[in-house]
Amino acid sequence: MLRAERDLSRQQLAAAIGVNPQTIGYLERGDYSPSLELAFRLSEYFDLPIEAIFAREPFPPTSRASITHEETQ
Amino acid sequence: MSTTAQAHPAEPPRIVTWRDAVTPLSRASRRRWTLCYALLLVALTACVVDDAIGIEHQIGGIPSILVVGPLVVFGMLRRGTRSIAALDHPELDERDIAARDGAYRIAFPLLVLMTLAGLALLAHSLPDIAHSTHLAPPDQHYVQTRHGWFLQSDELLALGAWIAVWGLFLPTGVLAWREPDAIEPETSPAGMPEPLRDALLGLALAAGVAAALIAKVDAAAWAFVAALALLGAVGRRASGQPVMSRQRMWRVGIGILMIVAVVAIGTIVSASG
Repeated sequence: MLRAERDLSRQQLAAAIGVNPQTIGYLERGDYSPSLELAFRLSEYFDLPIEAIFAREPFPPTSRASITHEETQ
Repeated sequence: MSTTAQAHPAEPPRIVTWRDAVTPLSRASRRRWTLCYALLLVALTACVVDDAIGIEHQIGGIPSILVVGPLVVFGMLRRGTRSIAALDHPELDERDIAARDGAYRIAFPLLVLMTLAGLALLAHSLPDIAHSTHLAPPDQHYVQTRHGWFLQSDELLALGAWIAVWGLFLPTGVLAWREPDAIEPETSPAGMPEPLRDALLGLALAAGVAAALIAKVDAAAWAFVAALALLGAVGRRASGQPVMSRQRMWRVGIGILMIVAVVAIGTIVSASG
């Protein structure tokens, strides 16, 4: 979602944070848990806190997340 | 991570070769070819080691499919794992290095096991003469019988080759077994489904090995090579590229003409002789 929002390809994001494009795919698919160093690099690149990028549980679907966000407001 | 894969036009189209067309990208496919490679090595060993005939007479008679097959399958696994197992790979990132190190940790005890298995196989396949010998100590008039292994250069070469082949294969094999499915390219051409491709290539390989071992027809390796060429052509076609470039077509044509000429000359010479 984040990568799509920024209109980035895997190659572009991978080049920006210094990993292989395959690793970006593995991160997105949940097949790889990044090191703290890589998590911080992603956090700095997206200018977001780490917990907005990674979570121990899968993120809820976007529609549900936006409804919850509206309810809290 | 909360990003998702999405079609993106940034990736330039790649030229598809037969190597791309047969590269196993899914974990299931890589596992199939890992097992296939191990079976090919066992078949190769069975050809080389023969307790009745001895090692030295067998090495020259190895069917070409048992040389070409393992080389091609190893290359497929190597490409399927993006050569992560290669040490000092300049493009490895932290995930690749972790995967490679994990594979080596598993491969090392497996190599020890295979070395022990090779020693046991060698002990079993050695002719009786190599288990004991009669030696006359210097300046003595009696003959002393000594028991043990008396290995000659052929046996030592075979044992060294056994360890080297498994040592080269195991890191890549373990990696191929453990790595998750490869990430699909964001602009991927639809090619032949992997199970179908594996079945076709596996059948050609199995037919070649069976023909070589049972019917003693060494030329069956060409069926495997033809299957590789066919899959390459299908892969290029599926990606919208010409099956063969004009320049390559000329090279292949000249090569076929040369082979036909050599066979014709050989036939004429043998017929007249």
